[in-house]
Amino acid sequence: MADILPLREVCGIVTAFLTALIETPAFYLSGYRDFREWIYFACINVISNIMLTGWLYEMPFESDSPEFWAVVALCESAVVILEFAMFSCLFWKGAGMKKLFAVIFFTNALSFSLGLLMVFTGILQ
Amino acid sequence: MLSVCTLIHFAVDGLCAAVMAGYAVNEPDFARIVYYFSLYNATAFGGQWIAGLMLDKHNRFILPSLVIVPVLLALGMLTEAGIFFQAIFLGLGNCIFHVAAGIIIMIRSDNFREPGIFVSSGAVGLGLGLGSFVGALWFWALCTGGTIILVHRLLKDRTAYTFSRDDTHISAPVFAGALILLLCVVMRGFGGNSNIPEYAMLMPCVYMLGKSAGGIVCDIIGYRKTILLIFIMCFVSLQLSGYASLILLTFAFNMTMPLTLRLLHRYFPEYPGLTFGLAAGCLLPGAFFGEYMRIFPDVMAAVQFMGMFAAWLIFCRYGRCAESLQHS
Repeated sequence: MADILPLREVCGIVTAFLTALIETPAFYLSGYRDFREWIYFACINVISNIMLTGWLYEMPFESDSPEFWAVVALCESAVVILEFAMFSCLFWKGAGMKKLFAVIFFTNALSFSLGLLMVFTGILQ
Repeated sequence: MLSVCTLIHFAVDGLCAAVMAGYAVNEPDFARIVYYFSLYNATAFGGQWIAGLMLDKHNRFILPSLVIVPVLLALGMLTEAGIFFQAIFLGLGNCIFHVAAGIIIMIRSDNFREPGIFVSSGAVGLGLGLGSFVGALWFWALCTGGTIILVHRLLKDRTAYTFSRDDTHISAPVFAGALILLLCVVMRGFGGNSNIPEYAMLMPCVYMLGKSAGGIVCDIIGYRKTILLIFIMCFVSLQLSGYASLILLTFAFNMTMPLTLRLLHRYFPEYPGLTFGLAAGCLLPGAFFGEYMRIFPDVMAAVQFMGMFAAWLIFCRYGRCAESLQHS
């Protein structure tokens, strides 16, 4: 696959599907049991994570510099807002949106923490 | 009324572009070309918010303003006046027409379709004029004929351009929401223009289709789903390459135009001219610095989507008559 697609695309797609694999069950367990809701959530996740990978690849900093981690935090925050906005565009309910924001924040924090753990333990290169 | 205004818009933008292009082909000094094009742009786009504010306060001047547009454009066509005054006359004519007709279009209905269709024709006129495909005199004849029909109709129906103003307090969240929308317009100024030299008229047609489609789609599926659709189109276009990517991205960016314009008007319904002028003025940074500043298109698409969503959220909470948009 890496021969056909450039590294950035491969990393983007793999990371996006890994993230969706972590976040979608967490979203389901948070009370969003409607089939349509969590299928859309999974799609939104894949889109936002491919974008996130793109942003991180465009960044001019080394991965061990403090600037890199500052930009990672900024991009992750942007992804939380982006996912909230995308999901709200489809399932706007007026009330209950605070819970949605909290759930999206929680699922992203979970996948980010697990991702860091995998990187630091050497599971993910 | 919409069709006549759209036709005049096509002619006005085409005429100005044809005259400026006519000057540019005979001018050997590139710096002078940039200077006079900037002067024209600054007058035409930068002056719209001032003209809009004045016409909002004095509705009765809308009709006389439309009448003087062909006169100003005719003066702008006179090479004897010199390029400095030509640029000023053309800019003023363009500025006054946009605002006066813009007010008529904004107040005659509350949908997204009409501002999109009205603004879309200008891009094609601009393309035809800049490429010198149609002469300035043809555009002027079309503009004058259209203005006569428009003025005749407005004389019969004065309610088409008069509206009452009820000055109310503008709260901080409403002001912030409007600023976010204007930031989205600035983004479009940077990302909404592109050029394929082999096909001179292709991109103007993409602009036109994008602007019209944005309004029509929004009226059918609603504001929220439209901004999501635009974002997904941007995302898909960024995964493609070549002309297909460029065309889809430009189309998607242009689809935001009627949405920002109408939502801005809903924020300040008493100021249709001012909101129209501010939206036009916010395209200026892109026109001036678009060549020199690079903003990543994926970042631009995400910021624009989040901005338009935030503006909608703020409007639903703090805007007036918000119920209509809440369900769209």
